[in-house]
Amino acid sequence: MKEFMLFNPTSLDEAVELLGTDSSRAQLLAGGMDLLGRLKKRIDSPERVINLKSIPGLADIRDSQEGLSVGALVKLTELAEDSAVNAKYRALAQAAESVGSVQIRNAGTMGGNLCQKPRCWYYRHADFLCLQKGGTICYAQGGENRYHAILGGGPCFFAHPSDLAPAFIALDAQARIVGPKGQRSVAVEDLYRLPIIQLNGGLALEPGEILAEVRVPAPKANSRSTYLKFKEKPSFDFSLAGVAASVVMEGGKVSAARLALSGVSPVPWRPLDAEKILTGSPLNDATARQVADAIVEESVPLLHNRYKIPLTRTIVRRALLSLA
Amino acid sequence: MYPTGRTSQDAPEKEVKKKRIKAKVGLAERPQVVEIEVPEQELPVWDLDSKLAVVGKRVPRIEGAEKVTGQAKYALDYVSKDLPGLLYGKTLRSPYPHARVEKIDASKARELPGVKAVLLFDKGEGFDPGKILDVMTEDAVSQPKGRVVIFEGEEVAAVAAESESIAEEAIRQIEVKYRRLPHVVDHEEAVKPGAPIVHRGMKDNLRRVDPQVRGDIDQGFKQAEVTIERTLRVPVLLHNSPECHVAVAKWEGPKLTVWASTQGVNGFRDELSKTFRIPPSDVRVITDHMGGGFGSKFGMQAYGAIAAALAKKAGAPVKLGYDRHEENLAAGNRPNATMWIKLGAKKDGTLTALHCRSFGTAGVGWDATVTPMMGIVYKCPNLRLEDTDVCTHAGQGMPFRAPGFPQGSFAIESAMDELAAELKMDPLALRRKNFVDQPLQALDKIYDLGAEKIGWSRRAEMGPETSSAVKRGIGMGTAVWPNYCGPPAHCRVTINSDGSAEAAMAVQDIGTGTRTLMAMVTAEELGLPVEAVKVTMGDTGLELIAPDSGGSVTALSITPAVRAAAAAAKAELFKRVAPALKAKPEDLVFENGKIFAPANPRKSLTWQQATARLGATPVSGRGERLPNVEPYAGIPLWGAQFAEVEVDTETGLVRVLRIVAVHEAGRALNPAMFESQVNGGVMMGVGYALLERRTMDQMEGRVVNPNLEDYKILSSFELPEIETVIVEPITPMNNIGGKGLGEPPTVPTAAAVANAVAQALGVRIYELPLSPDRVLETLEARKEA
Ligand SMILES: Cc1cc2nc3c(=O)[nH]c(=O)nc-3n(C[C@H](O)[C@H](O)[C@H](O)COP(=O)(O)OP(=O)(O)OC[C@H]3O[C@@H](n4cnc5c(N)ncnc54)[C@H](O)[C@@H]3O)c2cc1C
Ligand code: SF4
Repeated sequence: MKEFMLFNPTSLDEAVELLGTDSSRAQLLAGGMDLLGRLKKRIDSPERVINLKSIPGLADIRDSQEGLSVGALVKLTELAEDSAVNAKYRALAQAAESVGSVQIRNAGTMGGNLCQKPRCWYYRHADFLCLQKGGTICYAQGGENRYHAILGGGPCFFAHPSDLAPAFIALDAQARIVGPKGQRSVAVEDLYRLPIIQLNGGLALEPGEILAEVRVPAPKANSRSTYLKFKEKPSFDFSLAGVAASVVMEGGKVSAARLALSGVSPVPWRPLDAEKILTGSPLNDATARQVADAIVEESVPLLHNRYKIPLTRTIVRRALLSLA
Repeated sequence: MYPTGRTSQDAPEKEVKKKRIKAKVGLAERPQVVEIEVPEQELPVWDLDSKLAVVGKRVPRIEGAEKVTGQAKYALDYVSKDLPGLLYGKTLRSPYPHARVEKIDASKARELPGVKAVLLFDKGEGFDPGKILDVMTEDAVSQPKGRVVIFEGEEVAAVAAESESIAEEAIRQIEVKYRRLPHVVDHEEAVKPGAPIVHRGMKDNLRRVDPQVRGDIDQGFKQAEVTIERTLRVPVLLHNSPECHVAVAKWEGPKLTVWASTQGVNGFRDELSKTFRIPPSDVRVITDHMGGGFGSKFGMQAYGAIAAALAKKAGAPVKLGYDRHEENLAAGNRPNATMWIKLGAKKDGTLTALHCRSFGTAGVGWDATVTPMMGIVYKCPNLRLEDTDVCTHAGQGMPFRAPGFPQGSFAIESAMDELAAELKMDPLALRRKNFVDQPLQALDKIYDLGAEKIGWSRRAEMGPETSSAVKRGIGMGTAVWPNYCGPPAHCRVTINSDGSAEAAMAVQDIGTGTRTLMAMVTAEELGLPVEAVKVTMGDTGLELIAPDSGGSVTALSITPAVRAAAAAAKAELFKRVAPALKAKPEDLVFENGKIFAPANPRKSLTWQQATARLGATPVSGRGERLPNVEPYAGIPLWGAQFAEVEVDTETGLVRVLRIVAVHEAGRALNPAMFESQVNGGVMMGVGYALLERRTMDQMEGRVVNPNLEDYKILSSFELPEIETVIVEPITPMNNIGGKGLGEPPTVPTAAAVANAVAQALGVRIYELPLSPDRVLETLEARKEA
């Protein structure tokens, strides 16, 4: 890796100042599980690395009547093991638990998980200068794309790797962001943009912005949630297809539903049409199948990832039935 | 890997006096007394009547504590604290699969503070480590003529610097101008007319291996009442040894010492000697501990040559290793194959004909042969086995645990199961019908035990017809590997005045437990506990040559020599103490803690009393591995594995629940180590079946998964329950009574899993790995059909 200066700011403001707005010159460091790999392979070679872990107050999980607050530096292990999260925000606990290996979860943070870059193997190979790295072509589109996107792809087709993002989106979470222009709050869903709109590894943070916290509203009565992820290597792998589902039940029917998928699209994928089908229906096998079919209906597989269609169907169906 | 390490020191054949001895061998429950002819100095075989105190016991690894406490030193561990002035080397590699190198400019790299040596490889097509002295230049700028790189990862230049980060930076500062040339990385494309040619001077990318022919194949198919014909595919695999290739080279005047992670110190030494044009006696290669090779670490290779060349240039010791990315481009791989196979049989299952045509790629290297396994695993009077190597612009293939056999096994075992289905026959019954019967062979018992332990009869309830989305199946495959162990191997055993013993041999322990076996055999022969034996090994400086470790040769090439050396040392000890016991040395025995002549048991010495008499002059004896006893050496190592799997038909996920692995290695020297070999072999085999595949981008000709994230290997969580069953037919082939075990446990695993999956699904997947994408695509295709 290229030599860099390491900064240990003690406040978010100081961090914002050190970060500046040119990501080629400065990068944030949280658990480092994503960043270090990129630095070693020189996918990124910043001059400054700004360590967020020196900032106090960003590593708390707070549960109250209004809802849950998760600091950017909360470790995935803590999230997976927290009793309030397990009791009330099940999808989030399951998503955290499903990430990587024990070691990755012990080091990796919530903020890093949401802000991680594509895991596309072309992106992570220093010698492929693809679209996302300022090049002119997407190598995956006509190349080796068995792990790539079936929904929302083009001109880049990576499959969004974050497990936490779909869980937060299904739980209708808001992100608190600080940046050069001050503070703002945005739905986690809106942290991501399809590559057709913007090529920034999927992330819609403005230059120089830092994710400080994510807030999840308290669960409504009779609501439940789950995250189900399929891994090719069950012990330790990224999502080939995963879904977070959150439903509110009323009189045996779903009165409100939010769904979000990992591993199938360059963003955590929110299937609005499918949510509509789900809302007002009983949670049974027929509904689950309809919802699953609706999600994959608009899919456009590449040469080597057609299998993700039946796979996604299965995962969605099983996740929904597990909530029944 | 086939045995190598026949080195410059091999003694010429000499006239040997023979004697005839008897041995009680085979399985304990059906012993056979055989008469064999052996050289006069050969010891009696440890046979069924031998009472052994150490050999055959679960002796823990003698270096185990050293390893788990981090004290064992690997070549990778060397730092400047160990070797003052140590420099770190790094290799610059081609980012292109095929290109002409038009200019290399290393002036900037050379000026970086801390850079001590820069070498440019600016001649030739491909990089030949053996010619490093001829292809390298020390100029800062070179306009090479005719230098062509032929795979991504090929060596272009190298530097040595004071730290790894300086070396890495220096590499980046070397400017290379490439002109890209057309490439081909897919073997099925490379066979087509008009494909880019990999090796200049060849008219195409093919090399046909002489076919293996038996009987008359046309006649065989005419006699057949049933035939089946299939095409199967297996991917390229990467070794991914825990320790990447690494060597530390140090020159003292004309003498070269290299600490290397290698499977063969002798082979490494000989190649260094040739390459650097110095006598073998001036080269010393040391491998104290090493973190796996699986076939990828024979010979000097680029890492050895470059480390030594940089050290020479810099005038300081240099450590040069590959990182995981480099390892997975340039350190070897298991070739892939496209295998067309046709079987013919009578209605009762008797095979009449076997025809296989296979082609695969070892990249820019050679040997993608897969059919030898098919020629020995089942009895078939008529066969024709044809292999073709296809060159592609990719890293060269290397031996990979049982070269060619797991590939061939997948093809023939899949075909056998389909033939059984066609014949409405039980797949195991079909194997029994065609099993190769050999003297002292226990394959029948192996099949019996495997079927019993896995519960073969439960197969009837399994398969696609169950209501659950998760289907179960059981399948099996036969393990076979030729016996390659034999001479040369030389050992010296020394008995010290404190009563301890030391066994010394140049042989390396590649992680398989060789060190422990040397101690066990020495202890057994001397009548001592294992703790009393020290082992010195992994050092060509010992001059006690031994084979490179591969091809299941090590244990039974060396232990007969160790035993002979121990016996010789003991005889020396008896010579020294005989006068004190007023006995002839040859009349003495060491029993129940005492040395005495049975005729006069009251006059005795304890071991300690006897060795104390040695004073400052310990005794030692040398032992040599004598030739194998025929015809027993011609009998392969046999086994069979049975797999039980679960397949989720809605996600495509295959889980291997259980593997019953029944194997024989003649005498099982240490059951715990036997199990370790089987566990490792099964683990690699299940990885082959389910996950592993090198993936290359066709357009750019690059490996897209040269790492352990996207090249997926099994973790302990995916490991099935492995039940190892040891069958022990003692062989009179050598004085120990054993064969070998390194390769067989990985030969049939993937095939057994594939057969189980085929039973579970009711449809077969003809390509490894059996990953979710393949399973789902196969099931979708069936739905559509
Ligand atoms: C082998 C392996 C397996 C993995 N498996 C999974 C998996 O299964 N599922 C999954 O979701 N992920 C996986 N990951 C990805 C990732 O490492 C983890 O998800 C982890 O949570 C990342 O967090 P971190 O704190 O280590 O991030 P870092 O590496 O520190 O940061 C990641 C990126 O986000 C930026 N960043 C960090 N914090 C902030 C912030 N507060 N605001 C703005 N930007 C920020 C950094 O600059 C960097 O670019 C895996 C990674 C590895 C190496
Ligand atoms: S999918 Fe995106 S990240 Fe991958 S090669 Fe294409 S553009 Fe690059």
